[in-house]
Amino acid sequence: MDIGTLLQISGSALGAQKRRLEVVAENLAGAEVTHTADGGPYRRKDVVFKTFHDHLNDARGERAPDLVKAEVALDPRPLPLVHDPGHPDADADGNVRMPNVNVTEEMMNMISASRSYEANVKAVGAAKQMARAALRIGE
Amino acid sequence: MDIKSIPPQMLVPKPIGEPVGTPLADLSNVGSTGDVGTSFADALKGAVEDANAKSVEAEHQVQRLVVGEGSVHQAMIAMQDASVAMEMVLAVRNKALEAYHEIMRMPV
Amino acid sequence: MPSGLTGTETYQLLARALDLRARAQERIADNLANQDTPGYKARRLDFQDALRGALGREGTLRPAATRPGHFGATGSDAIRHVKGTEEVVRDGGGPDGNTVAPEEEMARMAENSVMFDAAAQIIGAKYRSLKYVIREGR
Repeated sequence: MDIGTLLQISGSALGAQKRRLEVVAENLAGAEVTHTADGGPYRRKDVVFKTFHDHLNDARGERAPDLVKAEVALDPRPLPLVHDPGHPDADADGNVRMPNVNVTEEMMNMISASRSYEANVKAVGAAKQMARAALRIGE
Repeated sequence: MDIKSIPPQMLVPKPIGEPVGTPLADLSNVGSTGDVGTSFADALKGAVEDANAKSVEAEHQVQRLVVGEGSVHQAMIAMQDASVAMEMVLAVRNKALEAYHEIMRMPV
Repeated sequence: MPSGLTGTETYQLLARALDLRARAQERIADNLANQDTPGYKARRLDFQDALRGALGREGTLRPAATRPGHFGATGSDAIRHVKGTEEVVRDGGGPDGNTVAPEEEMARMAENSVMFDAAAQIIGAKYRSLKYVIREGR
């Protein structure tokens, strides 16, 4: 229960939220991409947070803290079919398979990720402050 | 002769003729009304034991901190505890020394 | 084993408060880190009542005994063993089952870190003034 643990917890969260923001950026960039290098439209990536434990410090006898990591997976939702005969990737029926990216959803994700990121930055600040206060006991 | 090299038991006045190497516990009878625990000797002995124990604990907490087991505040508290206890030893020893000097200055 | 001048209730109380606040901060950090984790249940550490109870019936300062073994069941010994209770928040979660309320955790974090700071400053000041008194101002 000291600064090392606190920084480990908040640090894992900062990394996870940053990954989430990166994925949002990728999704926004691919929102209109109907033809990727692998062929086919861009598929949305989803981020799922998972709690994990680092058991290196179990010898301390205290419960291992709840660290968090971001797992990236392809969004399984179907790709919408849009009628747009003039589109270069339109098929014989004039339909284009579009990426399953919803810009509004991505913006909401971005705001949520930023807020969570900021909250964890504050947690790092609080941990540093507490460590400094503890050091002053010895002055 | 360096004052600091004098062992604690020599700084407390003893009856003339008694060997200097006797344990401190013997001196609790000197000048006391029979209530154990109020003499200089006991005070100094207790202070030294306390300072010793707290020094050991402080080292332990510092080691724990360095290997990532303990916490900053626990180490700081243990160090301050040890520091206070050590100052106590010095204060009691200095008082005993003052008392000894005063007695030695008395005309016989 | 605390004893002597720094074995009094106030020192033990401050030292224990620092331990408990550090542990509480860990729970808050866990909650803030997992505010977006599906199904995560927020955890809280409560210890004010336990500390108050351990202060003893008088609830005032008692000087420590100068010989070990003279401590009673309440007072310094009891304070040192206060662990606080950990509560898991199961209700009030969103659709993904996560029960962390970030604004609440931020408020708790502010209070917790200030109280930690206060306890640290106070105990530091007590040590310094104790040493000053022992040195008789020298």
